Amino acid sequence: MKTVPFTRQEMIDCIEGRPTRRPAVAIGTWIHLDQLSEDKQRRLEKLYADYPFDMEAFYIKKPATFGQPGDRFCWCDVKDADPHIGRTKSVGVDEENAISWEVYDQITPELPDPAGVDLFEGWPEDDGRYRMAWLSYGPWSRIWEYRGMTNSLMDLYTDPARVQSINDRTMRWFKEVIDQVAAGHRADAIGFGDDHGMQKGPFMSPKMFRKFYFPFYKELCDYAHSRGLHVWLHCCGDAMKLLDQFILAGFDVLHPIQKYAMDETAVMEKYGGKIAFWSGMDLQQILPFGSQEDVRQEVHHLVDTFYAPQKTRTIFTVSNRLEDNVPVENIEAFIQEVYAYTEGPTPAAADAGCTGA
Amino acid sequence: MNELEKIRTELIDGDEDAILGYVEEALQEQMEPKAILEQGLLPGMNDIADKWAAGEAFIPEVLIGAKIMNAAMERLEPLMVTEEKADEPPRVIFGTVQGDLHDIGKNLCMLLLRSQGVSVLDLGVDVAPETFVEAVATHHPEYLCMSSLLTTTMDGFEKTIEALKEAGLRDKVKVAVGGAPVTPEYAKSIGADLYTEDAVQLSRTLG
Repeated sequence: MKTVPFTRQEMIDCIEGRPTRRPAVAIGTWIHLDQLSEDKQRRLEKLYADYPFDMEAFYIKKPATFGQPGDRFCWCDVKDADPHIGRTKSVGVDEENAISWEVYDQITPELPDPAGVDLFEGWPEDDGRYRMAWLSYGPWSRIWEYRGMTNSLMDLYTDPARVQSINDRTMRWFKEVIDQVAAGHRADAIGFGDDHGMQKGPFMSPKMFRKFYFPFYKELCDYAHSRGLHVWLHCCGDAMKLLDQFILAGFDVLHPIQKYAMDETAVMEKYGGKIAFWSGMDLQQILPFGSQEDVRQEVHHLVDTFYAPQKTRTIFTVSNRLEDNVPVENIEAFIQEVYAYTEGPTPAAADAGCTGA
Repeated sequence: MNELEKIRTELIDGDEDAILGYVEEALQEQMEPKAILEQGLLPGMNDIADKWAAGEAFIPEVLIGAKIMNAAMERLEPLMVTEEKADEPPRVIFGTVQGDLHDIGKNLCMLLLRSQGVSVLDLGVDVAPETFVEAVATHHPEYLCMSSLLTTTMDGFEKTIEALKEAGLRDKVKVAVGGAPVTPEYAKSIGADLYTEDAVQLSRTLG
């Protein structure tokens, strides 16, 4: 091992704004090894062993994919739901499940009941590192799964009550999960994704966001905080116009501050110190197509921009799910350079074999 | 404020019933359908597009405006056609490149263009270069518009442009490319004729 991962407390300090010895690093959430080539898997497993993550994220077990109407678990993951939903080769993922509200009523009469379900199936033993329970889609992404993106964007005008009903149902599920996470001391945080940003600008106006989504996020963050949990949000694209509301809602960590969509320097000037940034190395240009030196220079830029000002509230990762076209040498260069640029080599760690406990 | 002014100023509010009500009132007052379109609906959409460019309107407003526009056109078009029209060949063909399944950007572009009366053919997603070429050969569009969200599928643009050259069709159609990872520099480097940053810009360029 070439570095000593953060203890749980060090990670909490990082998120809550107390100085840390280096920025945190947590990339595992965004790299699905089973979707990469075997050679890349081997190289990354070695990289992970040399540089253990400072935070581990585990998926909450979702209800089984949709079966028959009336099934106990029949609200999520619509893709296997109704075989009569129009699905042709020409319809893409953004519109694939564009079902009518009438069909929605038929296939989701009940919420899943997580009581009696092992939500933490497959989670390894706690090794003393900070843990996040990943819940997948938030309410905005959830409505897309049912209505398709185009319909969802118009539902904000044409069916506001329906939009709110999906928010309410998502909230009930999230709160039940939070209760179980907190009761069993299973994790230190919950996390989920809700993509409000496009490459340029948010999907909706700040006013519309305030009406539909700010109340949800505020209620959720308050609930999680009351049970001792942080809340991490993934929101890619340009969400600059919504950052005020994210911070006011109480999110503790925001991912990814996407390069080319957002101005990292402007983000830090206005919001530095007010929220922790899970800063994502660029996946549109630098990591897939840049040289290793390009990657190292970008690491310097990210560290200088996000970590250097306050020496805290910075966690590094990649900006979205890693595709297989990213050279593994670039991923190695990224991770190695973060430590080299901020911490330097720690020979003692290799001998000590320390974990985060 | 007369009905045409109400249509123009209230289109952005997203109340389809209200706008269609004004259209009916205007028709009952013997206003020409073409005037309702040109002095009410089109300026209303243009105002939404201006607000979009200024960062004051967002995708929901653009979409709902286009949706209402299309609904109003369904009411007005039969009153405006005086002779039977043959099926109009598509002026623009759209598709998401091979290997990519994302379509919201493409669909927004098509919705906006259709609301302006531009004939559009949608080839869907995961479209192979040869499928694009066949569509161009069959329909002779003015524009071929390709979309990609993923860096891993962007080479579909170049492959299609090459396939058009091999088929002797490259100079018969203008090629436009777009999508989140696409930049003006990249579009130029692969020989595309047009790049726009978003759907509104494309609809203003082609509309």
